[in-house]
Amino acid sequence: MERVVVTGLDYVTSLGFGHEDHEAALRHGRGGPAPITRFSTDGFRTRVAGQCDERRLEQRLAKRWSPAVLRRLGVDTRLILWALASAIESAGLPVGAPARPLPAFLGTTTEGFHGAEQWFAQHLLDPRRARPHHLVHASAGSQLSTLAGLLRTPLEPCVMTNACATGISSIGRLFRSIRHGRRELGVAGGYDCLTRFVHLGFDSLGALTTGRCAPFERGRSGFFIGDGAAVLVMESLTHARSRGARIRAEIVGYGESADSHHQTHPDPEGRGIARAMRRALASAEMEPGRIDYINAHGTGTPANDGAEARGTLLGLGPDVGRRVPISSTKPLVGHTLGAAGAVEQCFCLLALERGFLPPQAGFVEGDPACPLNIVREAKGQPAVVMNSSLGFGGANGVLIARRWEEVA
Amino acid sequence: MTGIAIGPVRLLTSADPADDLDALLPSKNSLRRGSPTSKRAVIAAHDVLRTAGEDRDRIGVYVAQQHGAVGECAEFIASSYRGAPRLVSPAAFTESVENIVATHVSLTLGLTGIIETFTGTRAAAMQAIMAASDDLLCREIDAALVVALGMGDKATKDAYGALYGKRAGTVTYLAGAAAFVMRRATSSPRLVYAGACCFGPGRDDRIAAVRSLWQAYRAQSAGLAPPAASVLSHEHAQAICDIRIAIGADAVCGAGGDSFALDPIVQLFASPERRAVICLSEEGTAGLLAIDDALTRAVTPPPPR
Repeated sequence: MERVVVTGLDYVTSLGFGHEDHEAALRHGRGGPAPITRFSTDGFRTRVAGQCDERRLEQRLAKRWSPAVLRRLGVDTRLILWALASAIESAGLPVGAPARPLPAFLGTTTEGFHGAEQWFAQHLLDPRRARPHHLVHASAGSQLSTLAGLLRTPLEPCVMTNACATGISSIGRLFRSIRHGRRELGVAGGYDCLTRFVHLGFDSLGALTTGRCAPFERGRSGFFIGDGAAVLVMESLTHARSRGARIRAEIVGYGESADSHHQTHPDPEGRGIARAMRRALASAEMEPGRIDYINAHGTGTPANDGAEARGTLLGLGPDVGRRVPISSTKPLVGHTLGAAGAVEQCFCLLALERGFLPPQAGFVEGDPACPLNIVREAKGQPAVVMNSSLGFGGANGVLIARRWEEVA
Repeated sequence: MTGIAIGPVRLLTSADPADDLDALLPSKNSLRRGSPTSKRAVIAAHDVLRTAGEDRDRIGVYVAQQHGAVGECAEFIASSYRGAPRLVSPAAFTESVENIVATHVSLTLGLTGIIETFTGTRAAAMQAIMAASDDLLCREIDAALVVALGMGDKATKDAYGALYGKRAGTVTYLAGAAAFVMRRATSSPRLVYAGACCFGPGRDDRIAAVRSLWQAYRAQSAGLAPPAASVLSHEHAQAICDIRIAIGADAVCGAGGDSFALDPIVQLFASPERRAVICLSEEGTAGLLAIDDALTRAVTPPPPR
């Protein structure tokens, strides 16, 4: 089996771009939702979200592409375009027609819905006047073709949609593929943006908070949705060394599972997420006690956090489960849906590279039903981190990564 | 060398005479308000897994679709404009979630292993098959349930109808679900896969993309036993192509559906009439039929139109 390393990454959320914009915010718990400006929220219960700074995003993209090109792209496509281009650049990969297509394992729960919403709205008013390109080109396949064209890099796309576990699933699938010698290099990650459709959908389920996103706290009431895109460049250690790449971290284990419990509710006993944790540990050939930090899915809904807390105790064992430092970063950036697992993986890699445990912003009073060791201040030097995602419909994924240390 | 055996296969489409899907469901509780697509998927999956002896924890679920539940999205959005947004039904939203079919399948059949949904292109079924093959060969699972969906809803028909213009009348949309099981087997062929997005708008770019894929495929096939069949799934979106090649050799099925998609194949293969057939791979269902026919019955499927 091949060892799998990360040689490039970048990401964008409502907090900004990459490690530089996120480190201070994560260390000091600065961030959170703001009033939605992308669409009218008249009649909605929740009117806040974590929108990215679209102006800054456009300024960054405009350094490489013309306004005429950018005008055709929805917010979702712009987010993943920036993350993909920047990750490839950070890995020092050549851009422009390499000999073989670059495997691109990307996850999204809504694809190009930012554009598709226009088609749905037009179609409601007058089906004959609805412009089909808004729907047809909203597919992830079309988005990836656009990305390949703009980057002048042939991509081998594999698009996954596993609800809120999507981002982690796509990284996990590329991890397996490289580990077992099917591929030697690829990019993986996820993207999604706030749309009226998805905001209203989660609002209708009562999953969005009208107050504060407070995972694992008593009286928590849900999350807010955030924009996000994150991409990792992953390759076999052999390949990375052969091209002299800078190694950022090592992915050592991945596990996934299905709850098979309920269409919308997680298994309250957390058996699904526990299975995924155990599989990830087995894949990493690691004891639970080696884990220094868990970035929890931690949506802040009563059902999710309770299930995740019980699953953590079940998956790692009660002693380790209660002791290992854990936090959710969703109070800062919101729930970025298909990007969540990938964005949070980047936070884990930031924690490994810069040597701190991300505290949970605004944590006040823990829920006794969630007896976990919530991180309250940015200290520590994690060497091994676990990232968990629980998807709507019972799809769970867990990744384990470790700090890169060259061993002679 | 360990390869992959495929079968049994079950296809259930809107053209089937059985119109009472509820009567065929193994369990109705979780699917009372499910879409016809979800119901067909569960029925097909249940049929092919009926005799499976593997541990439910060791069966992976791999669902493939092109667009997700467009009809359910349209219904949810319409309901949000008809009345107050805060009064929309959450049930309409849950059925519109892109991985809802995988959820229904795992929930109804009690499957607790890997669960993944592939989306976004007509080649999604190929991606699902190759993911399943990878997981089988590295022993993450003991059996893979692959389910490919064709939604065939009114909203999708309207969009493609407007896109194709006068040609729209020649395209048949079939709502349906195909399911089959894959397992490791020593006497079966290995599956070989190569894929790429063509990123140039011109004909030469498309031809170059198919050529590079064919070369990558041939390189990966080197040293393997001669395969029973090749399946080529070819997707395009306006001037940009998204192309896949999977599974090995002497018959080639071009899946794409029009001369734009077929052109590079015609250019590259000397006898396209003999080696390539057009098979509209609407959301993977027809592509799965092609694979089933090619592998298990040594038949290349006729064009559906």
